[in-house]
Amino acid sequence: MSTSGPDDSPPQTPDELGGLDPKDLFNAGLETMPPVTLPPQSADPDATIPVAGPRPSQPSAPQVELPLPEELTQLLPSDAYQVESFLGQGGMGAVYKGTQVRLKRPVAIKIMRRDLGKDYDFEARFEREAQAMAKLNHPNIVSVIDFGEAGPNYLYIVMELIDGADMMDVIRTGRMTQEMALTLLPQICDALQFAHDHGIVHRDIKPSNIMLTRDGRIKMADFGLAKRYDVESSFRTQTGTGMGTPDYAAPEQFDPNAPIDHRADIYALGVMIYQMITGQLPRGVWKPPSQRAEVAPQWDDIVSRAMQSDPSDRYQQASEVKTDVSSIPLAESRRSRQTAEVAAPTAPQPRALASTPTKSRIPLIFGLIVGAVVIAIGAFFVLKKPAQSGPLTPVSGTSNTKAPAAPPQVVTSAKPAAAVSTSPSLPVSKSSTQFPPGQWVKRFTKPEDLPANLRKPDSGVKFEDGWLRFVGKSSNSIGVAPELQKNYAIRCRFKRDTVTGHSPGLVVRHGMDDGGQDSYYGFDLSPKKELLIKRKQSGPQGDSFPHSFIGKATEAELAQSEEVIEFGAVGDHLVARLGRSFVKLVSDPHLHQGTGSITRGGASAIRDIEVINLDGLPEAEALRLLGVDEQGNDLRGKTGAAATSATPTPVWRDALAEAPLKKVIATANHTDKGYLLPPGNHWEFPAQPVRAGAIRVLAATEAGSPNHLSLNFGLPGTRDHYQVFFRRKLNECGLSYLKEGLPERRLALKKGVTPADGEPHELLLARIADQFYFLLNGEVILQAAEPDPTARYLTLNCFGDTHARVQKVEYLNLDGVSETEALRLLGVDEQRNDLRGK
Amino acid sequence: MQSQVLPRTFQTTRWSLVKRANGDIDAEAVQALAALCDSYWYPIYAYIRRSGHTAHDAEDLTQGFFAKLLEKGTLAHADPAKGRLRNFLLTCVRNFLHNEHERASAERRGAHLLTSFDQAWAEERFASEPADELSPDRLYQRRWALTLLEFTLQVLEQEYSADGKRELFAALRPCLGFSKDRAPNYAVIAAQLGSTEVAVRTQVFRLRQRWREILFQQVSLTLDDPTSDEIKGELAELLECV
Repeated sequence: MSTSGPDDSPPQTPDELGGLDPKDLFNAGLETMPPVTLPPQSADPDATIPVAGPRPSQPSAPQVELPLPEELTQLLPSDAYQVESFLGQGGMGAVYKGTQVRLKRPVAIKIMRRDLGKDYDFEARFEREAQAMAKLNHPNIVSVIDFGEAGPNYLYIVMELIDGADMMDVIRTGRMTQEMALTLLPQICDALQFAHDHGIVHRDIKPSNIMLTRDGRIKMADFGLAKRYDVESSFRTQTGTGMGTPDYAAPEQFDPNAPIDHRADIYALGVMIYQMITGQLPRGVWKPPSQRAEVAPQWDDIVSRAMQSDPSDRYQQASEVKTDVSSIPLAESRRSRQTAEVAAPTAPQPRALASTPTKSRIPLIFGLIVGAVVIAIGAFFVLKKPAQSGPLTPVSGTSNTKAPAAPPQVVTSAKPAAAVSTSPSLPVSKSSTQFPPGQWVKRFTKPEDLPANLRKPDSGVKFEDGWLRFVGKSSNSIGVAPELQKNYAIRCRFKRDTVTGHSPGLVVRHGMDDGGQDSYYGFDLSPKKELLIKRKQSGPQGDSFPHSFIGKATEAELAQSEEVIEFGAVGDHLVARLGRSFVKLVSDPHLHQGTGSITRGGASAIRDIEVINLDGLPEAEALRLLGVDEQGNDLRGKTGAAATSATPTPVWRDALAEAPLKKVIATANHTDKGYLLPPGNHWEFPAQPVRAGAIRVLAATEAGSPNHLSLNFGLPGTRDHYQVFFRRKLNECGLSYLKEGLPERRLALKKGVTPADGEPHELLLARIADQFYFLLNGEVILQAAEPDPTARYLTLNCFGDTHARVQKVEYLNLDGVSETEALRLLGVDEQRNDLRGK
Repeated sequence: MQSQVLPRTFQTTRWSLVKRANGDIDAEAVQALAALCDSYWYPIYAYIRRSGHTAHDAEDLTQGFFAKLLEKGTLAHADPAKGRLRNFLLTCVRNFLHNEHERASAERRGAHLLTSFDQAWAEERFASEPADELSPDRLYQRRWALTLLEFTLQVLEQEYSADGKRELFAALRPCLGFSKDRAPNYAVIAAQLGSTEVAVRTQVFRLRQRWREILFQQVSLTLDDPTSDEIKGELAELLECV
């Protein structure tokens, strides 16, 4: 298998690679590799620089060109330090553990090769900055103890030894959570702000430069190492140690002429925040964090502002970043205090208005060092269905889901399994006369009905044409019925603030949690149209809001000028409902009692406020009154009692008429048979992801084409998808699940159905209630259950890398439609009976 | 010339799956190998063709070769030095062609496991291969290297397209090929995109980085032991082949 020498190199076949020279392409692959010898397990050039105790993945001996500990002891100023062991190697140098002899103090000693100075004019500046760093005395910054030359070849820095691990490790092992980020980032910002105030720019902010100590403190290291990136120079073979990954580098660091100031750190901070909360780096064209992971939408603005290309568009101070991070979400924590004040006069509940610092669970987060599993604070929604997995999974479904042959699950884990008739009753409260259990009771129909404090002129609430409108600057909430403490629900109709898009939110069980902290459950529709159920949690670092993302409403759904919002608590369950499309049952054992209220949303307005007392009723009955069964399935059909507006029947929408596709069509190849899609293309419909929907295509295949149009449901944010495809030569068609990292998983297959060449035919792929249906010319060919039902939202698309001529592409959003109705609309219901049991 | 249809599976299965302890090949490994064969069958076809077989025979032989390869038990007895799929397949196909019995029985193999095999496309492509002085081996190696590059490019392009940045990719794509001698003209590209030169530089840097990552990933799929040294080694060899 010898490869020939250069005299045998063949002529180029033109244009296979679009004009690119294969040699150049291979060189591009080779040259950009950092020359440092990497640990055998990974090809990651961003290896961490651990500064603390033994970890299994570390190399046990230093690389060939680095000194052994004893040798380094000799190289350092005589008898000053005793070098004990090699800790690891990273981008800029190698780190050892040692002792400062005279003071008997454990230290970390980092060495760097000196000939870097020739390339980067590094040493002189480095020394000045080491001196400046030595003056930085801050709890969140690693202290510099000493600096100098270690023999002719190396420079050394002596730093405090950190007993802990670095953040890169936490992120890489997937243990970083949003909640941790909320706790760590304020410290990081403090450290950064402190350094900037003293005129020092870090220039190399990344998770591997940030240590976590055992007691949960951040320590930033490796300040002031100059990094200026030059696109050409990074492609030259580099000397010595290489520069590590410039993933965090701000654009100005690539420009040889641009001045670099502290705002480059802000950029890197933004990249790092993105990585902390999504686990990924923002590479190339990156998706906002809230689309990449289940995190609060406020992060999007923070990250995007920090990562502006133009430094003057970024946050100008690290403290500003801290402010924004700490206020995730600011509005709710203000509201919570107001709610507490509103409710206090009428219900003498003991409540801690100021959070008292407790020996809270926070240090447990950092138990990672001893190998403990991180207690994910967000994972408080209890898993109920055996088929599902994942910490934040609420009980699913707008229609019948198929649990694997299990009887209906009882929702509370503490109590034994029971059928509906024997489900436990909820405790009875005293307010039975004013609020008879099981009946919706109207509240605040007249201005006089409002509590005293809300009747005052500047209370922030005003009656106007039958609507109760939030006005002015006050953020008072409206306590709905302080007598109802345990099991109840609130509902109302609302109009959004048309300017800001805010909607009111509903709060239940505002009281104290098991730790004595002020807490509540909230249900919100954000201006970004995201529905969340959250629980407020107080900690010594402030409030946090672990939440469960329910879904995203569409413009069409919110175009209704009024909408109904409902939220209730039944035992350990919460039921949330918005309009016709969203209903969710989630479970959480933390809060057992507290009052309910409606919280302000900008200048929104509400009416028809009602409450229903559910105490004393059997749990299943209470849930039924809220329109769900114990699995969380929606019992209110299109014509349900709670319907305040009729849902229009879903209609097929023409995907070819929508703007991005129009552009594709314009460039596609037309004949009278339809459009031939450009090869290598795939259309992803811009329509919002759906939970239930269908795509329908009218197409004809050219003679001799090997394959066919394939239809897909894709999972947003990933490249995973469910695909229907044809194999003409094998005369079969199938439905597969393609998930990155796994082999293709065939869900269904059928032979002998391939349409003839040139013959137009209709393809339809639908997903209803965790089942996929594929119809050819109106007949169900394939049906399969969804193997991974935690995927709730899918996008519709079809692959165009074939020879199919397409005449029509339509899609149908079936969200909110009952399963029966959806199947009926598609003409599937009767045929389905034939396929069941296959 | 149309671009080759990308195989349906994600190519994140690894060649090393094929080599298990005790030489047992299980169904998952076969599937993994099948996925890889789906990507790289064309170099084999070219080799067979260049070895003197007609188009019709080459089709049968290619299909037959892969069918035999993927049969249970075949791999267990195959050449133990399976470090690199590229070389391994070449050895196998050589043996296959030499063995009269194997060739003759190729026609009888029913199951066509290569889902992306496309005779017409393969023939069309083969017809435009460069001149006859390239030996079958040499042609195979060259085609392998180019197939790798094509896939990497396609994956990269699809990533950008999927995020709606097709034009950006098209504008930046030439920058994948520049070397230290031929730097691209950032100003021109910036003007073309309506962006700034600084932004373009950053984007090019990240594009090349992503290119490298995907290239590494594609190569690692075909290696038994995908350490960075091995990947580098394979890339260096492939560089010689083009």
